[in-house]
Amino acid sequence: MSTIFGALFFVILILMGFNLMLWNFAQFDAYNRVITTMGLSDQQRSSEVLTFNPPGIMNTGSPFNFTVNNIGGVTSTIARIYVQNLAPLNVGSPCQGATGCIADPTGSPTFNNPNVKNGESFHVVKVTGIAIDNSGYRIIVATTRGNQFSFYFPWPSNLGGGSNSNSTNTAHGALDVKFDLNSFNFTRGTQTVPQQGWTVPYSTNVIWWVKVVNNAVNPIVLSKYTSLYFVCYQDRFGAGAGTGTCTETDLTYVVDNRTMNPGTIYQYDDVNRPYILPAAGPNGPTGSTTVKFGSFCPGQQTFDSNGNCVNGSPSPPQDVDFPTPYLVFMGFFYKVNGVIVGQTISFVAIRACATYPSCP
Amino acid sequence: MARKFRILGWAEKRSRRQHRSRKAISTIMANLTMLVIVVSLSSLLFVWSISSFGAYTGGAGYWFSSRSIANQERPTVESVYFSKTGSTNNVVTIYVRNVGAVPITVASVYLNSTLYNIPQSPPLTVGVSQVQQVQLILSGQLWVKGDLQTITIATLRGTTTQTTWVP
Repeated sequence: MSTIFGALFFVILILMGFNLMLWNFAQFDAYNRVITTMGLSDQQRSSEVLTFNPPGIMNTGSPFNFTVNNIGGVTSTIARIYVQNLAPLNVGSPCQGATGCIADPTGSPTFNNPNVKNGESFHVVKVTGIAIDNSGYRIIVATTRGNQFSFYFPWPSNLGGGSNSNSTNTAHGALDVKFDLNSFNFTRGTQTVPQQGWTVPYSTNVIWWVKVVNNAVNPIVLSKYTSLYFVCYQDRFGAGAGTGTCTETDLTYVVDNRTMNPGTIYQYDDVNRPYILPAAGPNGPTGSTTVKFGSFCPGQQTFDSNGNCVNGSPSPPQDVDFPTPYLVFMGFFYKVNGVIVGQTISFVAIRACATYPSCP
Repeated sequence: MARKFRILGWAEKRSRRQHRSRKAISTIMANLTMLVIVVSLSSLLFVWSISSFGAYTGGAGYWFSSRSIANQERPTVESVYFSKTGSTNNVVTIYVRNVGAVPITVASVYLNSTLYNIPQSPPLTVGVSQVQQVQLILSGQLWVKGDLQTITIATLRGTTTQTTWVP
């Protein structure tokens, strides 16, 4: 009898333990389901990336538009757009104060096209009910997953020190030089492959290779008077120390693009064989053009026994005469849309060294 | 002689019966005793296990349930506006969005490690996918243009989120 009772209780206890184990599994399962669901949600949230395109806001006033790119892994939905005025002295500008301006898809002000598919570029969002002006704004785009992406209007200029880009604009005109490590090169002797021109030999004829782009929506035709202007200054710390105050300037005119080195200079003919920089498209410049410089005289001129440029050939080569640093300015003359334009680009500094290629 | 045999036979029977009777009582008592012991011990064990399991399931259930809910909280700070009262930089307006799966109640806000309690009558509850404005009137500190401001939002369930903003 007691054995039966004992066994009965034992079975009850085993069943209770088993029941507890099942309850535990169920609880863990429910808990892990929550963790997994929220983990997936967090993953999607972290894969949201929205970027914006210059000039940020495409027009002032109301409504205004801006474009957004979704370079993340999921479709994003814009939940709100916050507009903050950052110009404290501009009292009359909108979106100042404790609440600024808030555009909500269900309220007023409002905006359209909140869903941005992944991979979509230049997705236009129109904000209605907020009239912005040209004072400074920060626009924060908040998504339904809890991310915030922002940009500033006016679009900040790309200053050299703060740039993350490998190439930086050096001018704000139609013609521009993309300043990077490979944008300024030269050849000498019989070289046909250019090398970087940040340090060069002095008193040696060279051909300069400069990479330029056209920001204008019309093609650019370079004039024969386009030139590089080298201004030397005294070097008190390098190989040029002791040469006195350097007063030399060198003018190097554009040459034909068939020119490879100072030994084979082709004179530049801006009528029959000009440099034509193609017009920029909606996404910016259409490629880049390498413009070569290296002639003492412009166009189809040579120089006479007095050193004056006169019509004729061959084109005389040019060099820099002192082992000192030089400031290089670019004077561009060109025709764009039938109009002659002159543009000076404050460009680069180079060092001409007596011990080239070693330039201590 | 015959009478003598009858008496002896009766005594022998009596003696045998008495002996058998003593044996029978001992077995029952043993069984009963064991039964009582087993039942009482089993009952104790049963009561103990019931209370233990109950306590365990109660505590663990509460932990699982509270942690599950807390894990579904996702408060985010969407935007912060820094403004003034007159010429004093002492107003900070924060927009808190709930991108989680359960409603949240904002319990406190820290601005640069300074606590600002949020009144709980009525509680500042943010529904799922909703956004609420929290406005702080600073005391003992002012926001400074260009300085980094660290804002931490804490919910009643203990979830925190920290963001940094520059006025």
